[in-house]
Amino acid sequence: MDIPADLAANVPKIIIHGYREIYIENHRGLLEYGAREVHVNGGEAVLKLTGEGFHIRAMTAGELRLEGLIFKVEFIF
Amino acid sequence: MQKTVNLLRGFVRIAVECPYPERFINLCAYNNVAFWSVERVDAVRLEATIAASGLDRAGELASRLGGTLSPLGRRGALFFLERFRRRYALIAGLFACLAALFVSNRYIWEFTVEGNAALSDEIILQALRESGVSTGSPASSVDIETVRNQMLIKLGKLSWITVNVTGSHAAVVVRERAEKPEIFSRHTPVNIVAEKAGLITRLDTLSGSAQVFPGDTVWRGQLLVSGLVDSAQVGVRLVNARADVTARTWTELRAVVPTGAVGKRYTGRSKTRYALLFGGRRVNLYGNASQPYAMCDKMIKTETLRAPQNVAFPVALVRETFMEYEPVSYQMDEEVARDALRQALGGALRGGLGRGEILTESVTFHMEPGLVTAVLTAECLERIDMPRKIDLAEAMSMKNP
Repeated sequence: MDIPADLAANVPKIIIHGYREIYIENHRGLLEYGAREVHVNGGEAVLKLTGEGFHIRAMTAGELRLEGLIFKVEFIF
Repeated sequence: MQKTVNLLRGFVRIAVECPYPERFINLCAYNNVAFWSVERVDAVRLEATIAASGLDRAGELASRLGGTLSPLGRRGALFFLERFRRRYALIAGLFACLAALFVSNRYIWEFTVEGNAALSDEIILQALRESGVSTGSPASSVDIETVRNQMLIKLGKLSWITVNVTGSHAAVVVRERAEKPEIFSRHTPVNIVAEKAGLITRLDTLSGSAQVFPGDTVWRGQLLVSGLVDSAQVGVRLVNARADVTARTWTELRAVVPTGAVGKRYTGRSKTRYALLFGGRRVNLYGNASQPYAMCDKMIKTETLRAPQNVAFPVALVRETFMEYEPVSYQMDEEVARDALRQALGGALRGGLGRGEILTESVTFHMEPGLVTAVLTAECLERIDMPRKIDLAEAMSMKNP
């Protein structure tokens, strides 16, 4: 039986709106935060965001909303 | 919306210095300390905005990480109100105001009248006062049904009235009785009389007995067609006389206008004075009650202290402005006076002409020193028949002389 990917526990769910907003669910905290680079702990991988003018719009234990011009999204295993 | 909520709750801009500022962010997120607008200043310092309620908790978290938290600025309603915490008189005044507002809202302080044309506001409000509803009456004591009945009896010209009390404002809505023209049924015995004096040109009798003929001259009120009919078969009986009577009529209208007039020229000087109205009592905020200028116009404006939702207070500010003027004599041009008279008389003639047309019309002018007199003479062709109810006692006397 296939389980939909967005229902799988402990897997980050990432939504990117255009080029300027990114929404991450099920994150495990910030590892590095700067205006040009943000590293988010995603459990099995680290999500590396590269861009310009990053700032946190809202953050809770499970959700993170970042704004800024996004150049690159990478997963580092 | 969120901005408004944040402003109401209050928020603080903070600077945090610690070896790992990211850990501070993570700890805030895990401990439900709301934050936003996070800016990394350098490797060990970041600035963020947090909700005022989370300031203490954020301070604890920063200390746990071996860092420092320093507020940079505070904003929001909470901090604004905190400034007044020790101003006891102000707080007492605020509560006194709220209490006054609460109590004052239970009484009527303001009236408006809508829907009246023939009756003035003052007449309606006077009748309302006599019915027990006046400025300062408790809003809960107004019995709309009783007031309505009393008002309709007092003011016969009203056909409907209601009083809507909202807060301290009472809106009196009225409908005036429309004057109905006298209409006679086909069974009512009526005569046809002349509405105007004239020379009859045509007479079509539909029922009744004609008393005049085309070519006759009649005066105003003269009987034209009688409702009293005598016939050999039926005898004398009363009928509803009906007839179309057309006549040539002559009208003379006269009007006079002075060529010189006195007008006003404002000098530009004015004085304003104020008074306060508490309920029905007036308190003048000025010493000298006399008129400030020998010749001036006085404008009075009354502004009632109001709050939203139709809440009025029994306090009003009266502003009286006196504007000085000097008399100026104007000389009207003779031709302008003639035109004005011609137009006025023509309008009066057409306004008074009911069912008919103007055949000829001429205006003559007489000049006197300082006066222009105009006389309009017009010949018209118009209907002059007018029904008039037969007085039965009079008819019986005619029937049995």
